[in-house]
Amino acid sequence: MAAFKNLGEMLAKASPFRSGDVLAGVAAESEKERVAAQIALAEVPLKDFFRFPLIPYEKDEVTRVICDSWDERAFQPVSHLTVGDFREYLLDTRTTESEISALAPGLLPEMVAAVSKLMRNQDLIAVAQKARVVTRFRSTVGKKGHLSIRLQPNHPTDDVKAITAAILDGLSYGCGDAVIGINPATDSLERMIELQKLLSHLIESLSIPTQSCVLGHVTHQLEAIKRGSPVDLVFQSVAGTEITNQSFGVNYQLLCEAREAALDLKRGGDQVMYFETGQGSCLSAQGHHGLDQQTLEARAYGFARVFRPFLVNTVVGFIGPEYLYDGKQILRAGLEDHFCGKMLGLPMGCDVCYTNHAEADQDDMDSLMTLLGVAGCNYFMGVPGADDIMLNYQSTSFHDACYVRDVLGLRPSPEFEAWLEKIKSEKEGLLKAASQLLPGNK
Amino acid sequence: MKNNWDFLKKFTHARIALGRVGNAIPTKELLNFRLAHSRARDSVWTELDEMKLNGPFISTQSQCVSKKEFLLNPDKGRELDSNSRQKLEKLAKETPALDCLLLIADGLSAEALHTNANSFVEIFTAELKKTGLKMGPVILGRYARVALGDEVGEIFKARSVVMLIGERPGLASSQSLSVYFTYEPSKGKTDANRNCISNIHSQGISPLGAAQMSVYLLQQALTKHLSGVGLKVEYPNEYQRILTP
Repeated sequence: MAAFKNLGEMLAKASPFRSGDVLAGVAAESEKERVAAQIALAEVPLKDFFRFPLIPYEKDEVTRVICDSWDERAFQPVSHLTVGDFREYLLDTRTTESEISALAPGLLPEMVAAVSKLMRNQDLIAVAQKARVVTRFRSTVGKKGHLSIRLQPNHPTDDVKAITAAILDGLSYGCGDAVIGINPATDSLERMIELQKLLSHLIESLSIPTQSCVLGHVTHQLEAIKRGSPVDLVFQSVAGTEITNQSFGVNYQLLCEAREAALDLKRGGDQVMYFETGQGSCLSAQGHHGLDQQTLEARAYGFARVFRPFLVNTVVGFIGPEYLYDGKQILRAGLEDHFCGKMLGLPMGCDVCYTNHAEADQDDMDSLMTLLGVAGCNYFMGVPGADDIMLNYQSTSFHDACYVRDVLGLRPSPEFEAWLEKIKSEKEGLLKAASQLLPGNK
Repeated sequence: MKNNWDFLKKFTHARIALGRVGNAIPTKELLNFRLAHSRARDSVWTELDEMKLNGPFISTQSQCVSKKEFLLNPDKGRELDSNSRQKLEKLAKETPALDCLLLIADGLSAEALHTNANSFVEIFTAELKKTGLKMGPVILGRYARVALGDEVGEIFKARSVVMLIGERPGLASSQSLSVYFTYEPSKGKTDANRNCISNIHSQGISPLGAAQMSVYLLQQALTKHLSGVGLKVEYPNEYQRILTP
């Protein structure tokens, strides 16, 4: 530890190379220094992460939420281990799935981030596969052998017919069992309510066992609920520091309020939150406290879990090359995020994606999606042709969903699969519904 | 092979009803996608060409000296270089109190600015004139990020800043602009303090519609003395029509 000022610095320098940490000035200055940090980190007792919070309790709401929700009893089975020992414990074939799941409430985000920095990609996959997290609203997401898809039918003017057409296309490929979720193009409240009503109507009229979400700001969704709009899941972006959450216009209290409001509607289940995160957001909001972006990302998960979310996904390549430069860095970050989220008990999915100013392409997405499929990721995005024409980035497509389910033998959520079977057995099934919903155009 | 779902295509330019071979997309669609990606990649590197903008405007530059530096150092893109700062400080002294300052900037797509900025600026200026609000000179920012508007607004002590900036190119369009609006701009404002109108291009919100919406937003903000997540924008019906071309 002598060579490193504190735990935060050691974690940052032990982190695999990525552009965001260089930009923040916290990355190791040489490959040798990186490995030296990893060697030192392996010797750190897990207990130290509780004794020395990286951002002081008094100064940061996220730290407070994480510490106050920590379950010390759940931590007991691993309380004597160092970070290096912890890696071996997790990989040991004698360590069972239920033992790993039981640990989750006793783990702090920093412990999980630390061990991930020592792990190879195959370690991140092997352990995550053992950490299943199952959630339920109208469909069940995250069961072993199943893979769900968020249908993402965004449109640059929030055009209702265009969105309907994209949803029908996605459903025909078996997508939409995690959620049908629209990112609205504007912050118009009326338009948001119109979209919420559209989704509710589609889900009810076709009896689809899934849930809806319009991913506007949480205060807008609250207002929509107050006006009686049908809201299934409440969405918000969250991050690993109070400053960053402030820059998103949210805090713990506000999210509690939103959750209560959605629970009161009693529309499907008691897991009603949907969160998105992504490495680099704290640096982007100038709220990183000198920590590395992967540790901060894990802190976002520690914050998110107290709200018992139905869905959480990292939007791994969305933020741009300043934070994750190329396909290699995006792939590593995606595996880390999924691993850390699962270890902390989150129903983790991933928006496997990149922007056009990053050094990445669809081949890199194929690799990450396939690896995350093996790792047991709860869900991916289904975007028409992988091209989001509103958010201007590339994700994974309806076809990609079919591919990954097929090569890995994964099935949609059980309720949704039954619905797909039923629709297929009807003459013209979905096609008939489509021509009724968008009439006069056959 | 005839695709029964083809009729859906007339409702959207999203990549739907592509057909399939096994689980994959047909070869033609595969190559279409690659072509669009190559175009978007190339347009990221397009440099701002002032000759393509009508003006008049005051040219400024962030602390970045090249496109590459701009892409990798967002911080530098949020601050003016010293020449630009001096130029604006001098100009600010000669400028009376302003209700609004309009900044136009390349951001991640100079091509978007070349294509769609002229009509936006023209209509925005004309519409604002009708309201009687005082607007300063149009400022042009090279290698600029959204937050550059905070520094510029602060120099002029403007009551608000409207930033028209090139969005990162997508496959469907590399000509898309966004408007970011900040009440009482100053360094250190965050995204929670801003309102945004995105997807301003020929297949999204028209530059004309966006200019009208921006003026409306501006009036709302100046009346309510705030911008960002606290400003719940309820566009009247005439603006709803803009959203439904």
